[in-house]
Amino acid sequence: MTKTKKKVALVIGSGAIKCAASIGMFQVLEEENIEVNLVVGCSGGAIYGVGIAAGMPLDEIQELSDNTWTKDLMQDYMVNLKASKDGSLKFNERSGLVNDTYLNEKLKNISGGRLFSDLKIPLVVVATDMVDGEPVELVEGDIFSSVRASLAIPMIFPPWEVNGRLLVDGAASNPLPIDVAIQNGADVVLAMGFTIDYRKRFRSLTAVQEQMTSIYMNNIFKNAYAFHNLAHHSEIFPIIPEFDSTISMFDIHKMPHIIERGRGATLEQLPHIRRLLKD
Amino acid sequence: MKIELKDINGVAVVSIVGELDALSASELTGFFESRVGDSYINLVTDLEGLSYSSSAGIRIFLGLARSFRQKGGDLRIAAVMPPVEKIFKLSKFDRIVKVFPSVEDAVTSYDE
Repeated sequence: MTKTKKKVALVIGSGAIKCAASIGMFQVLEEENIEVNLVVGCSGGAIYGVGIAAGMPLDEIQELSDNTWTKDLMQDYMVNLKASKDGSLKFNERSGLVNDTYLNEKLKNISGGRLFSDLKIPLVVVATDMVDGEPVELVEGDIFSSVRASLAIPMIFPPWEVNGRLLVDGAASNPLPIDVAIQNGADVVLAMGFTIDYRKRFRSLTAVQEQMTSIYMNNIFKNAYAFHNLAHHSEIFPIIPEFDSTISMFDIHKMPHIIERGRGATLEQLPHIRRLLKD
Repeated sequence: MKIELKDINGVAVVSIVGELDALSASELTGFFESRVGDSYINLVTDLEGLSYSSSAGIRIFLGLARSFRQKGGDLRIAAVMPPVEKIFKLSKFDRIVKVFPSVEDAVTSYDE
């Protein structure tokens, strides 16, 4: 691979299945021999960050991805939701509406028993401390625990304890952790992020709650991007794929479209990335 | 990148044509230092011909807005093309400066 003097970081933000667009992004980087020196992943982005940092073939990452985003992830959700409403399920800080057995199994497959120290490219996984709300950067130990913590969507998946801290979804504090790349000395930051599509119909309390969460999340995303953009000394290339329609968590059939849009969004920025790396 | 300065009713109107990134940024800052300097209070940047702006480009515009506001004037932006508008919106730059559809609208806004 072509060595450049500039340190290149790949940041893959939260976005569940949409994060598979990073497969398309990395395809382009491989074709262009652009060396990545650091990978930062948050929530769904952490899954793909692991694959890329571990040097897994992209078709293998896609296969694992296809096997992960299935409705089985939501094991016992409806039963537990009902139970939480009638009071028979007592909720506390360690609870989630989903039985996480299937999720854990899938994430163990992806992590493959690896430690951070086994990875070919340094990886930082971002989660959120459920007690103090602070973003937490995970850089050592077993990959599974870190990715599991980063993916713990509040109230859906139970939080995950790492080093004595109860952690939830990285998206709650830092959905596109460009700051982590900057702090770790990156010059060129390729930041793949996703906003959440808004609902058009509101027929339940859950729908209204979901819409409000989407508004909060999208504004956290944009405000953080704006701040990081102004703080950085070199370039941040936003790679924001746009999709033809709303992508929901289990739209595995849309995977080729997601990957293609990730590729397209990267190709849009490619002439500018190349120009900067040549300098 | 092609940069030109016009004086319209005492307002510095700078048109920027091409692509603005970390590599071309110094050319633009150099132009402002040498050609605009302290001669003007109010600035309009005409971006009709700007097809791309990177994060470094946004930082230059923000720096201009700060320096013109410090001397009692302003930076107003005209005729932003969709790819640049997209990055302005993502970085919330359009919440910091006033953006107008045309140079004429931007220049006359200083009379209001």
